[in-house]
Amino acid sequence: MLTFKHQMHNYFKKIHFIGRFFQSLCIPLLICSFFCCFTFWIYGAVTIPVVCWFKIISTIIFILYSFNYQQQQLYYYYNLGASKLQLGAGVFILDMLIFIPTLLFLL
Amino acid sequence: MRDTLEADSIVFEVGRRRILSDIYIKIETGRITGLLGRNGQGKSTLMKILFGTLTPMTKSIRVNGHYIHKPYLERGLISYLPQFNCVPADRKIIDLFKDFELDYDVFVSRFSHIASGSNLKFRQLSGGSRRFIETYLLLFTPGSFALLDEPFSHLSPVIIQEMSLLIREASKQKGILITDHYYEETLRISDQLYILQNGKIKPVQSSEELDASGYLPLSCSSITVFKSSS
Repeated sequence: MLTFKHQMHNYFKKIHFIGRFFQSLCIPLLICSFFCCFTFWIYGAVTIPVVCWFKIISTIIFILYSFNYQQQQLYYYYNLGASKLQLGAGVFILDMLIFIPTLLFLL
Repeated sequence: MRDTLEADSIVFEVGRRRILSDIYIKIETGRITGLLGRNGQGKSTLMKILFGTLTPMTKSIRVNGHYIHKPYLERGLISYLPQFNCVPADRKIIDLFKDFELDYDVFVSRFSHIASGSNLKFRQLSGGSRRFIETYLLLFTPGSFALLDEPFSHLSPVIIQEMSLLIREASKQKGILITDHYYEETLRISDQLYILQNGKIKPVQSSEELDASGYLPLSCSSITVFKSSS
């Protein structure tokens, strides 16, 4: 039976590995975020639905593409106990945590 | 008490070709299980199925009698060394040991000739050093079972010998399934042996059975290897 301390340790480790995986594809994700924010800044609030959907869909495509071209590295994360779903969902949430506050700041 | 990983009823098909047919395999802690077979017979596929990252048509994987759907998601249960390098190339050696909760100093005190700098990145090492470190990490990370797919590839004969000793040492705590085309070394360290042929798996008890399987070329006989291992 895992103690609370061990469980927390495991959660933090998992977040750390998701952060590592995020680092490997942060450049295209951040470029995409910058492009979306720039479009919003230039054309105003009417572009919000288009910008948000573009960002969501492009992030999903980047994640799926990275699963394909980094297939070998995925085994590193599997050995550390992280699943593909956890990595994908984790990267998506981290990316949105950067994108949404930036968008709100420009509003 | 020994932990046991049993897998049975494994059927895997690619298109209309059946790669694995009704496979049964048993791995126990404290023992090294060798898996031999020609190229394309499904050894790596079987390992991925046992690890849980590949879903076959049917399977039943049990640890100590308890069914497990995806073994790799059970913390401290199983590790898998793929036949290719899986460690991110830009990762520092010291960070790899932290990730797997292992002591880098212990490694260096024993194998200073493998990696001389903790701040080196993984891609800066030679192919052999990379393979050795990957195998070390996966052998000694906490867990009951380790699946090693071609751990001897890229290694020089002396390092292969060191690796064999390392696998032997890890097998005191773990159940190890190993497959490698360096069959002599595989035979030497294995406590039990299976051969995968035409989608079927069968245990090999003697050198005659291995010779009859057609895995070895006619000019090589496994008798000498079997003799030296016993």
